Amino acid sequence: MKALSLNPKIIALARALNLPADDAVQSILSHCKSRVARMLKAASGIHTIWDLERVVCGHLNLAIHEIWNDEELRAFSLKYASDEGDSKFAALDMELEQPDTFGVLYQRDRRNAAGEFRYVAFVDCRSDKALRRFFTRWHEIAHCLTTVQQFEFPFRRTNLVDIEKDPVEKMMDMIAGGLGFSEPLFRPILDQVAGGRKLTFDTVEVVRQQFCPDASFQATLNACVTHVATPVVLLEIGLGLKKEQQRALHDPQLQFLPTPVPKPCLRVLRSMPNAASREISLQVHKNWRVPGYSIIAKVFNSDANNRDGQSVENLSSWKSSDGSSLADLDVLIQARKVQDKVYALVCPFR
Amino acid sequence: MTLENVRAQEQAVEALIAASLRPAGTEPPLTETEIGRFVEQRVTLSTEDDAALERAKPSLKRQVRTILQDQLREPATEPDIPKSLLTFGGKKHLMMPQMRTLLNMRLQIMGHRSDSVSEDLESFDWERFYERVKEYLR
Repeated sequence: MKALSLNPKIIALARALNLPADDAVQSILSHCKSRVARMLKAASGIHTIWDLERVVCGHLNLAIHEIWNDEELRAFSLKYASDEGDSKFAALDMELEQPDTFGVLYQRDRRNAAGEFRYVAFVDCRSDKALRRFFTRWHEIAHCLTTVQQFEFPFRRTNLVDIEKDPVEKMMDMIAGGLGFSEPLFRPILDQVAGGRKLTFDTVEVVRQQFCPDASFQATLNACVTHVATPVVLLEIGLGLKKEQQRALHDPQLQFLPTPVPKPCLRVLRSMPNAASREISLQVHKNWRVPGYSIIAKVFNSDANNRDGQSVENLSSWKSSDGSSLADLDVLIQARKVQDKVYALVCPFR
Repeated sequence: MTLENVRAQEQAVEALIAASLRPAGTEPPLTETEIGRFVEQRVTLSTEDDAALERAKPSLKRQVRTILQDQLREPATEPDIPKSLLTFGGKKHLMMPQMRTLLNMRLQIMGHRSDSVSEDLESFDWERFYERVKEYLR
């Protein structure tokens, strides 16, 4: 069971949806999948992910608008606040002003003829945010699929930068990943392109072009790792602190003590093994330090012109501060630098 | 807790329910043996307790089922107005219904895709929000 299933917010969400909470993540994922499956029963002609989105949004009474510039933002704000008389939309700009806010979902005042709630989502496509527009659309759909009356749900998101992403948002990302890269549409393309071989960054790019060029490379990479039949672990590597160092930084009690500011090291920020890798116990733990000689460290320290690299390494040389090490296994590591992070695909060498 | 203890506890609860169903004033005097049964969790029921429990069981089960199915839940009530909004409303001389309107507008925002936005109502900037929407408030 995922650790997320034990989070009080996720358990509360499952309960608010009247779902069993013994494995809350699985319950919520299954709930969303079966809702979508019911929607698709009467639908026909679904060949692309956009067809699927159209059907799902129709059933949810959800309109999705993309905002590509400030004028469009003002126009949408005015349209809903003034034309529809729904005042809250007058503050739409406030909702999207943060550089790391990509979308927002509203419940509209006016219900439809059948008395059902209607929703509208705005996806911010201004500047670099456009790269995430495909996944943001499905993230907002996920919110809509798991909508409960806000005052029946005791927790509202409270992100603290640099600590942990809000668990509800993590849950929405999981739902979005499952639906936006819906297996019946995505798997045949991946199987055809990957053809049972090791997953590579080039394979992911070809899959992206064929499945949905509007999806980001990152989102497609996650989906490929999840669905590919061969064992692979996706790592996101960057500078980070130990958990206790992170906690200490945010602990007001410890702020009084004259402690030196900890120095971040190159660490595993996210580790995502797929089902096949779990079967052979191929795993790399989150927060572990990356050895200095690893290709990952070399790619991280390289200049922007040399951002890819690969090598065969033995995982047993990855050691933690308590002396334990990873499995004695030769692996092929492919690493790619993207801005201040390195993404690495770790597969068994043989 | 062992299985035996769980069973003993369940029996003790049943006995207590049965005892509570007896009409007032008809309690027989307690004997040392009866007290001992509760203390040592060796619970046996008197004939009239047993009969009362049997009579009560169907209704008790129905009630428990209803509770478990959440049918007794009160219809959702209006949420409390957060302290931050009360403070802001007081400063701007807003009436309670106006504050409630602001809160409801805020609660109709169902979610963001963001790495930093907090939806904590206490830390929300009600003043900026109000300045944006006041022109359209009915």
